[in-house]
Amino acid sequence: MTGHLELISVSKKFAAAQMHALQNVSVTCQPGEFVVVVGPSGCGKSTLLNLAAGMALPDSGSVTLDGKPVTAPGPDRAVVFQEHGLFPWLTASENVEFGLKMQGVSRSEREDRVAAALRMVHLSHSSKKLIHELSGGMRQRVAIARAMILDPAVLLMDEPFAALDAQTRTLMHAQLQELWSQTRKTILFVTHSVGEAVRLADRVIVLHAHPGRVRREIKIELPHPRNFDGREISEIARLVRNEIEDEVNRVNKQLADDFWKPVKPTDLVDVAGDMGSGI
Amino acid sequence: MLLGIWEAAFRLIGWRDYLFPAPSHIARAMIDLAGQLGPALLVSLARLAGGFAISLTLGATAGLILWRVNTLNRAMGPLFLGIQTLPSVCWVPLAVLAFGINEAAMMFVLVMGSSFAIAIAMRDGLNTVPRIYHHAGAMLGARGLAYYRYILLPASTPAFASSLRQGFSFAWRSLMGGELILATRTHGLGYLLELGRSFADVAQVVAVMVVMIAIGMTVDRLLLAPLERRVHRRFGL
Repeated sequence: MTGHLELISVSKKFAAAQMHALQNVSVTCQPGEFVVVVGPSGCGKSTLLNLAAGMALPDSGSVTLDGKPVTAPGPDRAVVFQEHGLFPWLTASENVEFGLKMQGVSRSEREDRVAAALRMVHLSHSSKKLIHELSGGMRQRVAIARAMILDPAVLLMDEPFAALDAQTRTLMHAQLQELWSQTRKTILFVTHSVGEAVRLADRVIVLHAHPGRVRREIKIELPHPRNFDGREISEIARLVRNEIEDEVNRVNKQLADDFWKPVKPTDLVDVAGDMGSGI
Repeated sequence: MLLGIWEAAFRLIGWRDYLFPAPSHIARAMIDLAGQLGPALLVSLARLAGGFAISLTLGATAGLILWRVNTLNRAMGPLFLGIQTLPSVCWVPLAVLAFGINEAAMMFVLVMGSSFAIAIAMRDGLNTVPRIYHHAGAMLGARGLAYYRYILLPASTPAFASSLRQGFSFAWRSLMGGELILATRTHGLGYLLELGRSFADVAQVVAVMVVMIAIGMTVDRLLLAPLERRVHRRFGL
């Protein structure tokens, strides 16, 4: 089975600063595993995904898929972007078809596979619509269909539901779960939402920031599809949330210490006691 | 309405008709000129079509190169902007010296007067193509030429539509300026304008100007603006 994604002690610096976006981070996705990376903003989780996609190369460390090094973006690592990245000049079905067209798949085969992919995300009725005519949730479903039609070894998802409203997001979670249990693709999913992470993941990886490193990995062995309001889910969510809060506090403290000194009470009163004497 | 006020003001104030014409004079001049206006209009439009096609090709290509090659853009971009601000009739002397008084000179003025503006508009438009299309394209297997053909070309159509519109007004202005000065063997609208001046026929002068404005407005309103609107609607802009 394919879909063994390995990032081994990768480091990546931001272009401008000397700060490490990622320092010595290792993440492995087993074939068919649903891994969610969660962390506060600035923890390098999007950078991690870009490295897996081949849109950026690590300064050190290695990224491999099924043993082959990742050097450029490719259809074996399909990406669902936060801002969908669909082509506005094409209809929904033409967007889904695009990757197959690039691969030189015959028209009749393309038609069948596009229809199947749109059925999978429940969008058959909107196939002829333009992208701006679709709602946010529908756009992300088109983006997922466009990625899945490539039959990738891994599906990379970069905060795909961050811009959606809560109800739509819950619906998307359910559909993604369904899709994943049907296809058993390896999924590497990045989010800042703890709730989203524990709903979806087999394994949650908590990153911490400045520099981005792995703080903790939590295996979630609850069966799919999950009851999102269940007690176990809530407990795991609390655990992860605590980890992240500690992390956010640590970072804030560290950033604040650099320029903020506690104010002494004596700074605030007029020590000499001659207030107004010069009037 | 406006024409009525104009005509009424003319009658009431009693402007002298050799200084400034009333709408009725212009209308009469147009009817008198009909025999010349028609052919001149055809000549001008034919020149416009040919010259605009050339300057679109050159301008769009130059814009693409400026967008793609950053060092070239830094070196040439400001120069392009500078040349764009040069009034197009300023190309006429150079055109005459280089080509003589002929069609080539006319084309030269038109192309020089409009292609730089098109190049700048094209470059700026390409800069607005979101980076994510590049990533998405690479992920979907659109590399090299396929990227240009299937992603950049369609993605830049809004930019191209806008540069088309801007380029047209530059081209039309340049051509009229060129025709005004260059007395070539076949006569365009600009020549009729100059002819009106030399006969001190103010009605003819304004009549020809009205035709020029009408052409500019017609092409823009009926052809280019709807085209731009359609592209924008497609893109949801």
